[in-house]
Amino acid sequence: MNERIKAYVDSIFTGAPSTKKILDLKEEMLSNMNSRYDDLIKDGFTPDDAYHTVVVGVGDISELLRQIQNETAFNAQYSQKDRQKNAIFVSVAVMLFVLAPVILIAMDAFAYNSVLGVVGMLTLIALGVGLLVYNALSKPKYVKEDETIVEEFKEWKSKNSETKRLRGAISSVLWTLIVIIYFAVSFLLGAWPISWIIFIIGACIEAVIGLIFTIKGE
Amino acid sequence: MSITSDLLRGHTDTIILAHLKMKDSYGYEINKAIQEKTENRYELKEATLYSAFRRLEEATMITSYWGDETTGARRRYYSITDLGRMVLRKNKVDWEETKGIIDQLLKEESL
Repeated sequence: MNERIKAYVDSIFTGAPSTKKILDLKEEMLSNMNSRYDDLIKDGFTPDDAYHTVVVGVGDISELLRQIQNETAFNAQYSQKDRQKNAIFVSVAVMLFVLAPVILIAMDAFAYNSVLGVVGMLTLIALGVGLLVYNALSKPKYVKEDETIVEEFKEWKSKNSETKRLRGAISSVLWTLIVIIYFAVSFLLGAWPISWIIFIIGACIEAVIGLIFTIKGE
Repeated sequence: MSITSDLLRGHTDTIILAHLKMKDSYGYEINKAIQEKTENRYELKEATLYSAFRRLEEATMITSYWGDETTGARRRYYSITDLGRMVLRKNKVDWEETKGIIDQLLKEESL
């Protein structure tokens, strides 16, 4: 491996991102240039002449580098669409949550039927939770573009936030269930004085889930 | 020479495919073969070569793999695909036709 050639190749790749395609091109160029250099030396060229002949033979690779980089930019556009989808799901879910008590109050006030109101409210909440969970699970994973450290870090970060997302989803399902059980038990059995204990149990379950995630993470 | 290389540049892909049809090869070897065949009258810039490789690989006319050189940088070998062979055959036919037309058009009339 000729040090001058390596330095020259390094210099033309200065400022280019360290993606796999770029690094591959660099390695390919290095091996080809070195092979040529060795052949020229064998043919009786002085090291100086050989080096200059090799460098002149490369030509202008800036256009090629630009093309490779443009491809990478294309990837970012894709996730923009995902973010929009994500926003719609979350907004609809929140809307359902807000509307849920409205049904309960309306049923109670106009139809004098609180059981029907509770059923309506819980249905809306269930729909909202369903949307949130679907949204959390269907988010695309970050796929490594390249074998570089930066990409590996992004993947690690994405994986990390995936567990966070899963935990968030479980937690929201859990608390919705707790609220459902609380209202169901209270309304249907008339157990208002004691039913608050369900919330304490819920907090306990949440803590256990947190513990499980911590243990699994290690 | 500059006009000649302009004319030749349009056929870079075909020239590379023709070389790869004989055997798998890497950038420098292909360029060296071109120089030897043309007795040093023609040589591709490496940048042109890499652009062509990329184009051909995207069009699935060639595939690439890394050699297992133990010392120094690894070599990237290219190999022609069935599609590449087909395109090469077609380009050769096209070239023969073009050559015939140009020859006919440039022929001095001998009335």
